[in-house]
This record gives sequence, C-alpha cells and structure tokens, in this order.
Amino acid sequence: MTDKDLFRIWNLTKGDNVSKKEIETAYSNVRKITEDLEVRGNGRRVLKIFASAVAAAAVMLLVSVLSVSTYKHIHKSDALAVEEPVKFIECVTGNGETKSVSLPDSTKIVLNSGSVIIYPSSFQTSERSVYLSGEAVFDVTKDEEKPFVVETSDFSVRVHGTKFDISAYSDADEISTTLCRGSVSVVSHIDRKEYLLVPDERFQMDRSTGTSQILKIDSEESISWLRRSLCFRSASIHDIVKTIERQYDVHIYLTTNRYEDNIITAKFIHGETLDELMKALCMLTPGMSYSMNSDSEIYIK
Amino acid sequence: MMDEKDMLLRISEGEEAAFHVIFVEYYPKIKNFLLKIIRDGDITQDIAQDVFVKIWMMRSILPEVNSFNSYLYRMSKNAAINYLKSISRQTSLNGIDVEDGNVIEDVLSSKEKLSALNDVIREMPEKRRKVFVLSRFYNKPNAEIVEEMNITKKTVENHINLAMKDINKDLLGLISFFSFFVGG
Repeated sequence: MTDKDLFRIWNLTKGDNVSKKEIETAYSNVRKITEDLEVRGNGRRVLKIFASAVAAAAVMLLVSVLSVSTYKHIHKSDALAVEEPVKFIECVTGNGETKSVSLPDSTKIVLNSGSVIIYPSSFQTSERSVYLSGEAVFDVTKDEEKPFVVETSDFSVRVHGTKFDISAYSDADEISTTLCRGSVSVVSHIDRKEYLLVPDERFQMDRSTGTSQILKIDSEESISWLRRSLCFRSASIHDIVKTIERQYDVHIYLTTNRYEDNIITAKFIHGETLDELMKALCMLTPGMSYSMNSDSEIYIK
Repeated sequence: MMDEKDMLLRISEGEEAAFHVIFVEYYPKIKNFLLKIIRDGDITQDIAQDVFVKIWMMRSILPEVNSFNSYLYRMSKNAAINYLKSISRQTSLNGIDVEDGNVIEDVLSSKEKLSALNDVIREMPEKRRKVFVLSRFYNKPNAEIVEEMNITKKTVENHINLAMKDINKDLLGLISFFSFFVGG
C-alpha cells in the first residue's frame, strides 16, 4: 500500500464509536504521562551527576526513579477512594440578596439573587463538580489534578483558569457564561460541542433555539452586579424587568407591549435607588412612565 | 471562536485547555485509524495516547506546522509502523531511519529526552527553529528550504549547524552518558 493510499484512508476515517468516557480516560492518562516526563525532564541534571558514578548503579537509579513516580500515582488514586460519606450542601439566595460561599477547596463563589448552588461537603471524585441554577461569579482554586466543573441544566463549564461568571437562570431565554480571567471550556448539552473561551468572551446560548455563539464583551460590565451596579447592553425590556425584579426584590408588570422591540443600553453604577432607576429608564425610553403602589409593585405604561 | 492555527499556538505556549479541545476532537479519529492497521483495541488506545504525549512534549514546533491534519497523519502512521516493527520477528532493527544527524527519531523513541528537546527548540530564535523543523521533522532537502524561505543556501546551513549545536549542548550530557555506559 502506498503512502498516498494510506493518507486517503486517514482522511476518510471518522471518529465514530468512541465513548466520551474512553476519551476522558485516555486524556487523563496522557496528562499523567506528560506530567511525569516533565518532572523527570527537569530532574535530568541531578540524574547526570548521580549517574556518572557506576554504570550498573546508574541504571538502577533510573529504574528506581521510575518506580517511585509510578508508585506516587497509584498511591494518589488510592487516596481518592475515601470511605467517608459525602453530604450535599445547598445554598439559596432570594430576590434582592447576594451571598458569598466558600467551597471545600477554598474556591470562592458569589451567588447573585434568585440562585441556587449545590456542592458536596468534600471533593472526592476525580473532578470537582458543582451545580448552579441562576447566576454566580466563581474564583476557582487552582488544582491541576482535579478539574473544576460547573453543571447547569443546559451546559457544563470546565475550568482551567480562575475567574468567570455563569448566568443560567431557569426563566431566562438566554443563558451564558462569561470569562474574566484564565480559561474555561464550555460543553453544550444540546449539540455536545466544546467551546473554548479566552478572557472577555462570553458563551451565550438561546434556550428556545438551542443555538450557541461566542461574543466578545467587556467582562467587567457583566460582573458589575458584584459591586451592586447594573449594566444593560442592547437588552430587551423583559431582560431588564427580570433583572430589576431580582436585584431589588419587587414585582414589575408591563401593562403594554409597546416596548417589545426596544433595545436598551444603560449603566447604573452609582447605587441608584429603585425610583432613580425607574425614572432613568423612563427617560431613556420615549413615552414610558411607571407607577408604584404601596406593596412595591411597579406598573410600566 | 478560534481557528486551528490559534489553537496550535496556544498549545505550543503550554495551555492545557487548548490541548484538551484538540485531544477530544482528534483522539477518536486517530484511534480508529490505528485500528484499521493494528486491529487490537487495547494496544491502539495506548498508541493513540502515545501520539498525543509526543504532540504535547514537542509542542514548541506546532507554530511551524502548516497542516495539522498531515502532521497527525504522519505521527499516527509512524507510531503504527514503530509498533509493528517492534513486534515483528525481524532482528535486524538497527534503529529506525537513523541517518547521520537525524536526531528526531532517536529522541522520539526515548521519551525522557523529549522534554529537554522541547525546551531547546522553544528557546531557538524563530528563523532557526523554522529551518530546523523543516529540515529534521519534514526531512526537506536544503534546496527546498532555500526556495520556501527565500534565503541563501549558506544561511540554511548556518541555521542547521547552530540548531544542532543547541541540541547537542543541552542533550549531550544525557546522550553521551547513555552511549558510554550502555554501549553502542
């Protein structure tokens, strides 16, 4: 068979029938081997000095270095099979509140209003996995051995870097994750593709169509809620209403659908009160007015 | 969304996330390709993993790779051939393609040296690395390199000499120690 024929076979070969499990197992094997080689590669100077003694002894040294590092790996995976039963902890925020949570590995999470995070009392499997519904900013502790994975109902985020925001409210049409620092990859449950993000990119998914895209954004804007600011960029009135409801714990009713097609961009960074915010919104939108009753219910006309 | 060139650049800089994406994309294809040649499921898994280990350990050359598809094909094909040779009954396996100065096959068969070689290649100035990769990885004759890079024959020869000096300087300790004590 000529090289040309073989190359044609290569091009025709697809990646079917290989399970995700096999791929990930293969990947972690590859990581173990490369980490091992890189440690040994760096240690080569020590090896040279010791090895210039006696031939037989030098060969044995190589062998013993080999078996020590293999042993370390086996030992490590034994350590993963811990007996202690794991409890799952749930942290919930209501509308109008934010909470800070510290995970068993010291990862810091700030939960935005109306959100739920569920995590184990200790990370015992080969991955650190948490579940999120709502919105949170993550500051993840680095652990090369155990990737950090955030599961939401429609996509998973696999963390390689450190700081990012996930917005996955169950009542939202658009859900997203925005990267501030480091790198993450997002796997969509719908099309099973993996998307890699760099800082200031957002992975956004439209729940109604199931399509995903990656946008370039200003990540500081997206996490402005951390500083009690609100940023809307080309937002619909519905997004704005929902966000205000959550942040200020009020109910807002749209009495007209005149504003369906409006696209609104606004930043509220001075800790505006609800009144100030609504006034500003009405100024931005021709013809809009609002009223508030004694039960903190707002009607937009 | 980034294209493959960017992905390769990021892998060459040591970024694990990019490597993972490429791995998930190509591992199944490589494994299935090897299966057509080797027909043993367990062994092909090991060999496919080995290919990726080499890709990672030699990541500093990735910016010079023009077609990742062809690169993967050659790595996979060589891995399959090496395996078949190692289990064949022929005893006249006096190293594979060990021409004078072709340090790459030698080193690829000894994984300990990969990390060191990768470091050396990464430290090389861009032009030198490019000439070195074209000459020793792609086995292009000097005349072709002259054409492709639009430089003189003398310049190509200088780059190769300097590259080999870099390599020997750093790896010489290991390489000569092995040949002295282990013989050959």
